[in-house]
Amino acid sequence: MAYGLAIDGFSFNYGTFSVVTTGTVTTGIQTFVTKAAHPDLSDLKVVFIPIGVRSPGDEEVRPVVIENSYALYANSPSNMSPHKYIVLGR
Amino acid sequence: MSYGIKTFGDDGYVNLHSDYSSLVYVGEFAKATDGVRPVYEGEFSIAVLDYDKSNKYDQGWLIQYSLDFETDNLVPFYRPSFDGQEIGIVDVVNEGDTWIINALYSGNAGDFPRFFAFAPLTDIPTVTLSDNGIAVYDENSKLVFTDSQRPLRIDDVLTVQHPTSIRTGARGTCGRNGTNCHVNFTSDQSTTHAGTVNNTNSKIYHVVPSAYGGLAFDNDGTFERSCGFLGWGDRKYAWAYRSWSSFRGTLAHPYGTANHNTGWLGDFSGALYQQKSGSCGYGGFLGALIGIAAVVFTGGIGLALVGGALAGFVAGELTSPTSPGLKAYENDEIFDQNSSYELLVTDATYYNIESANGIDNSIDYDNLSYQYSANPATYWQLKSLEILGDTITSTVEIYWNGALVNANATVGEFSTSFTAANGDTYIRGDLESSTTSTTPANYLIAATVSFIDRYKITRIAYGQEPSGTNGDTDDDDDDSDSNVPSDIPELYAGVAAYKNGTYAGASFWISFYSSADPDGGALVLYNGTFMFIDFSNFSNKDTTSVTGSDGRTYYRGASHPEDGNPYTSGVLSYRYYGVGRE
Repeated sequence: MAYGLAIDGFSFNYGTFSVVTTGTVTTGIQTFVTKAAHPDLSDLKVVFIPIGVRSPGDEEVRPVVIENSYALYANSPSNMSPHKYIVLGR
Repeated sequence: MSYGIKTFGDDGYVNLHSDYSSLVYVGEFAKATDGVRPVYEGEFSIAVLDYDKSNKYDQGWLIQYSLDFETDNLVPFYRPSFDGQEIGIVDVVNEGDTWIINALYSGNAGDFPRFFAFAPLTDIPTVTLSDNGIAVYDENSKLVFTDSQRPLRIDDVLTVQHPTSIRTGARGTCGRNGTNCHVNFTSDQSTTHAGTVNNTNSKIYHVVPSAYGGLAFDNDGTFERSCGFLGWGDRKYAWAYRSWSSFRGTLAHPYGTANHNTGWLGDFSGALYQQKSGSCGYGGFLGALIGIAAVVFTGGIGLALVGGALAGFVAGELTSPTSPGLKAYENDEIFDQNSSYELLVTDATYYNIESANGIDNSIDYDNLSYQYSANPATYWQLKSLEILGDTITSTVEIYWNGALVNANATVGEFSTSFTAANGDTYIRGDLESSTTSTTPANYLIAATVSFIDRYKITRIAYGQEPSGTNGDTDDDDDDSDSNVPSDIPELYAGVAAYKNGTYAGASFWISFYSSADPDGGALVLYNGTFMFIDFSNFSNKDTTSVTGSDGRTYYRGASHPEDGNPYTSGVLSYRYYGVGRE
């Protein structure tokens, strides 16, 4: 390899995501991650992981993320099924 | 950062940072159930056979996986079983240290995908470090990176969304004679999202689709027939038909392309038909009969299915609190389609995950019961050897109950087992009969040597529990009470699992009765499908043959007192028997 980190002959030069923060999405509470708090990271993504059985009979939905130049906002609709969020960054 | 380590990958992004935990591979989920395709089989239901599930209701297979691992956060990835397979994660459930995935997949029952778990390194209680290498800790002294646990490698990441409709094409219609009719709900809508890295059979994917919905069909009407003295009266009839298919959002990842297609796959379907008549009168009419099936629908399954409760419905083995929530639809609806969500792509080989398909270890191959029948043909037949140079191949035909199982499919050279497209596996037993092909002296051996060697055979219906002893022709000690003709194979499988709510692959006859209904009735399961359910008193507990929903005759086989004599559950008492099909 021309540059980067090599350990015991293995090159860690590939793209990856690190875990910036995790938490539980709570209905009625907007969770946000400000980009200014993570100046070394230029690409942030949010994945939502359900943590229970979703009820289509109750028309449950998943949380959504909104991004602008300042932050990422995890929005939680009132009929949301339980989810965790994991903010990934690189 | 004022201290620590920060490195960048080839893509120009940070790939290691001592402020942030890496995401690492922690293990593979184990298949906890077989795939099932539940349908409504309650009051006024119309049989939805396997063909209809595949071709009319677009049903995939619901399946459940589990993994015991102590972590607060987990990111699941899946590996499709074949090129272009549609897969959707339906639920992820966390119960203590157990993580459960409910998923939906296309193809055959045996084509279940594999699931892998990734978790933040900081969530893992014990990590074994390498004897040499590097370990990185954050300011709280938590391990955030080690070369002994390679971080998730991102091959591609993109944001995807589902199409706004499930089907736009015509569905057809079912009407007054709709007792064996199904409209076509098969989805014809998908959206292609182009990534940058080609899909291969070693790629694994994380995505939790949000979209779900359903399609429904309604029809009803009235008619009248002459009745009474000289046919001068008329009798009013009212009928109603209703069916639906519930869908979940899925994704497919065609090999050799960088495309990811969002689409739809059914998870639950049903069809109902009801007809009622008034009395023989002269112009009178019972208008209240109109819409009868709709009343049944709303007050029955529409309520019972809310919250995922499947109790009281023949819906397969997914009856635990972690079963997916299913919904019966009265109208076309789509929910949560507007959301966009992330699709992450990585490669299984990077984590030393071998790329084979999932292996079903639930079959005990040392404990099988073999069959042989000349008519209907039920045997493994070796027909010929083809000799070309130093290469010898063989031609094998596999027959079960008169049907050629391996039509248009090749059985491997000198193989002794064959798995059909529906997941059933056929295994060769002992030689039963043979013919001899002789080459005269001073003649060359022909390129094709033909003969007929027939072997006993057994079938492991997908999900079936094999029973009996190798060499037996039946697994029951006493066949004296069997009504199955001797030239028809008698099946008996899956009773123990059925008592726990599972019927995939099950084959048996049940007679049942209660104190309120001492005559009782019969129920027939054959290869995981309910072929006879008595809603019209066509049978009683002593019935020994019935006509199934496919028009074929089913015979009550030998009793199995070891499974109930009778077996009582609730108000009903059951007796279990083998079953044979004409």
